[in-house]
Amino acid sequence: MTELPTRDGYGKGLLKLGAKNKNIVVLTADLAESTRAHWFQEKYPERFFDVGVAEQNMITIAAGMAAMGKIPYASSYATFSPGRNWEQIRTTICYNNVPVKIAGCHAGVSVGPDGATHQATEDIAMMRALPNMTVIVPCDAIEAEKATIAAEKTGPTYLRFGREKTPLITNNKTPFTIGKSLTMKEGNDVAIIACGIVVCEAIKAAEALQKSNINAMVINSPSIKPLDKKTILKAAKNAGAIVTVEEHQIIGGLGSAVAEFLSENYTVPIIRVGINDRFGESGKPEELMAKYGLNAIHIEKAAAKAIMTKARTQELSTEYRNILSQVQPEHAFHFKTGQVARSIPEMAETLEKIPQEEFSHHVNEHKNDICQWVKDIYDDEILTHLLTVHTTKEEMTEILKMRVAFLQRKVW
Amino acid sequence: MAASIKQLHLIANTIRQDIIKMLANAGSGHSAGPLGMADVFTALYFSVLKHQPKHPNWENRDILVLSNGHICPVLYATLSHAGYFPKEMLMTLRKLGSSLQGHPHRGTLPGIETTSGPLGSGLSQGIGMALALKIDKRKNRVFVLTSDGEHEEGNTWEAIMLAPKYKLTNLTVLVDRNYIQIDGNTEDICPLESLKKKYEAFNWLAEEINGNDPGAIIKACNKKNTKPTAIICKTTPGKGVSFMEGKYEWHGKPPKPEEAQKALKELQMQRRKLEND
Repeated sequence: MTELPTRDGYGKGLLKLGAKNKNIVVLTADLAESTRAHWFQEKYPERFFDVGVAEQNMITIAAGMAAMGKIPYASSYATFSPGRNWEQIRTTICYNNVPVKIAGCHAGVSVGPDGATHQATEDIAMMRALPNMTVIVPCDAIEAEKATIAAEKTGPTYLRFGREKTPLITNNKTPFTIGKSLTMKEGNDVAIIACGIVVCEAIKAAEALQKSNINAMVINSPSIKPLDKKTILKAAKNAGAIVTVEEHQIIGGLGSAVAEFLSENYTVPIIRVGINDRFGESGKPEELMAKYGLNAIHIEKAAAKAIMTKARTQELSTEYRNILSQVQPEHAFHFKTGQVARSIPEMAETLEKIPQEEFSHHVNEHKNDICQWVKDIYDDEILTHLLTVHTTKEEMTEILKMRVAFLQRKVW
Repeated sequence: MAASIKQLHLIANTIRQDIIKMLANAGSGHSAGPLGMADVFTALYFSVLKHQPKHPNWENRDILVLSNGHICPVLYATLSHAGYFPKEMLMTLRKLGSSLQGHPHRGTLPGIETTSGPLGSGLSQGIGMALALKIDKRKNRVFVLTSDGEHEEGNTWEAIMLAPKYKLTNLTVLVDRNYIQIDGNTEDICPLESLKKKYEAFNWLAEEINGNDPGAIIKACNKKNTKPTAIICKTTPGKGVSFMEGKYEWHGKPPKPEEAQKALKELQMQRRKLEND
């Protein structure tokens, strides 16, 4: 699959806009090249303004230009703009209601080695809270180009871009409308709503869940504000369980937007995948995405948790009751050392106690006896799926306990 | 036709009286700055600016950006005297549903070019406006009114540093140099001297004038320059009201009803003297 950074889409979008509208102006605060604003600079130097390392100045100059009829695109890293200049954005852009576009590049932990100072993980929250502001987080470079071009017609707008190359998961014919989402996969067991470069991880997670017969819907929701409420409501009603995914704090971003809307309109379990109230750090992008829980595997786990939570609120089926009761003696699980598990709760208890060597005898790179036992004895696709992807002693114990807690209608 | 200096003094006096009435009626707001700047506003709106009060968005108008939004009573009073909106509206200052917000807001009132209140971001907006006009080869001028106190904001200096790069000869900043801010005298809180030398060091053309002298204001604003221009207007805060003049304590409070009566009496006496001169 071809890969490009979403910031490239921004740069290309600016070039197309520059050609068709002479009122388009581009500003940067000493980050022309890494925001891809330099492509516009080369083509339209008379409409390009590098103000130096001064994000407050950049954004207020943009506000002044917009008041005089220009359509400014102010380009920097998201930690600096809108990070440094939030009040100026609030007063001179949003309250003034002038059409300045704020391009926040290098968003998320995938920025990598530069570390937390340069990894914006709160920017969506900061921008979403502002009246008059539109907030767009494109999933790939193609969508980023379309979003950049679409923003020509909007008022104050925040556009969020990433640094690293990420797969192109849309094409030139894929529709893009501000306020509309895009259904990437249908499904009715759980709906995964994602934005930005992690949409492709959501798709991977849905494909993996499919192997366990779990039908996950995947919604790409680049438009965080306005939110595509119609599609999200329909998905909640249809799937009854929601997972949100974003490369941002779980506080204040897409997950919050979805949770706020559904809590007032149609309550279903919502699990938010994102950065959990902490700062990033230096590392390779792929290392950080794994460490901060933003990969397909984390989404799969969240999806399973959401479905389990949904089950808690529904009438328990006979099969689910079986999980809590003891099985026939011939179906019990016999550990190498002689211990016996006759139910899922017993399995969880035993797993927690047995030494690692014994665990490794049953679960290793060649086999997974415990997962196989669950699969053979119980008709529980979610549990089977989780035990396929989580294979350490601690993880398996946690998952089994979680399943029991849900079935006992307890909060886990 | 431009007003005479005597007429300007009379207009400024009326504006000062309105400021006192507005603030007393509102029960909150800033007194010293608006009174001190009444002469600058009068000189601008009744002599310097190209504008059409009945067509506030006239495309060839000069743009006035008020950066230190808290002195807006003087802007509101001046705009209404110039004919932008009915004088009756002045007494709605700071009331629910009023177009005269506690700090000026673009879009609610004719003649307000930008929203301001948080300090230090007016000059950079003025740069943006001047740049936009320049690239479109338009002749409008941009005047930014700032306070001395907001030269303690970093954003102000980012703007001062950048303006000469773009040779913005269409940009003029007028600094209300009244030496006071909320917490005390500027030179005690965060010394600013010499503002003139500082502007010059940043490659501006800078001049100090008496900001309560309409003739000096007009003369300074009408000079043709090859650089962005800073006019440092030395004003007396609370000008015209003896018990407010020069006192930082009057930066951020309105007169009580009896104080307002006293102030109005003084201003009316000054008016009679002006009329008889």
